[in-house]
Amino acid sequence: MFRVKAILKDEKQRARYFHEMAGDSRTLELLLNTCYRIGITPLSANDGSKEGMLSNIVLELNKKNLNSIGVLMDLVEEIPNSEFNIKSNSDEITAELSFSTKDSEQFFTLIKDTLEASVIEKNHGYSYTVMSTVYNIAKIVKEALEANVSFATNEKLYDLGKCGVSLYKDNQADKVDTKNPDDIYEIIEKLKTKFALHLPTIFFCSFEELRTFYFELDETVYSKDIDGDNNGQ
Amino acid sequence: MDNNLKRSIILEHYQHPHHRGLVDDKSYIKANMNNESCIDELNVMVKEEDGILKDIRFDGEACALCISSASIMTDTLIGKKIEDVEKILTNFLNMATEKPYDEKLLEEAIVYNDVSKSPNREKCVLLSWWAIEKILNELKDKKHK
Repeated sequence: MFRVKAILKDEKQRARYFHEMAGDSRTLELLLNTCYRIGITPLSANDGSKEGMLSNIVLELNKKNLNSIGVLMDLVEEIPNSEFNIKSNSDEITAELSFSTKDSEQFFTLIKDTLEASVIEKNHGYSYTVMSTVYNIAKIVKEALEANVSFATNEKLYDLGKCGVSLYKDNQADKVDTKNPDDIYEIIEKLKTKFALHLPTIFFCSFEELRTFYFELDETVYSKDIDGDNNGQ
Repeated sequence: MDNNLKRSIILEHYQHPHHRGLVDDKSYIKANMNNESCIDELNVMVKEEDGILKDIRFDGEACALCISSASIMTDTLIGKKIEDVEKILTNFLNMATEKPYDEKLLEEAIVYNDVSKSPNREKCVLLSWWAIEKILNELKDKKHK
């Protein structure tokens, strides 16, 4: 799997990167070219041809491409065994769509067509609102708390309008316990009444609850100093 | 107004913003606004007929305060005559910058009466209102031509 960190400057260099990232998949290569053409930088990709490997694409998330990345999230309902993630660290915010299927070519084409259509469609859907919320959370968490965010949803969760979110500092990645999630209402209440957020935390919530969480986080960060906890409570 | 009530009004407008989404109609006047100190970028469009703001729409990528303020702004100004809109706008800007203002004119927008205490959030709250100011100036320019 190749990871593109450099800015892709010209046709020749761009084609080489995408060709290498796409492995033996011509449809993945076309998808990566489409991403770049519509203003989304592909960071890495895998055609899923090696046994045990998922097919995936990792794209840079920024405020200009929230709508297109949002429609990518919608695809978890159409691509079997798929998962959509947003991850942030001190350098970047990335979106990843991964899936496990024998016919990845068909789905790379579906993703390509969906992304192309998203650029033409001017009206933003609900997934844009979700993306915007996750992006805002990632920005606050990165800039004000110097911590990372991981957001995930899949077909089952997305169908219920739900997601999983974890927030943690660099040295806390191994302390995020997915089997013991926190209660979103307790977190929101703590943010609201005590102006505190303990890290690391992981919670499962609806998209509406996620927006409330962002609202309280925003209020807390901008009105009082947040009480970060590096002890992993 | 009680702080919890203010918070719940702001949250409700953020969760379910009114008049969000742009329309493809050339009779609207548009303004694009950026807030460099935050992530806010809003597009606001206004339909004016016979000196009345018949419709206001907005969309964009913005923080909770910015979205809620834009939603409240649309509720407050739609259906008002331009001269009344100008009065409300002046009073809102005065409120946000700690100058004397008439709170009766501001309706629900009074929920931001503490924003001057958080200077880094002033722009978030004001962005959509500045867009209206810009559009009103454009309307005036058009009428003078």
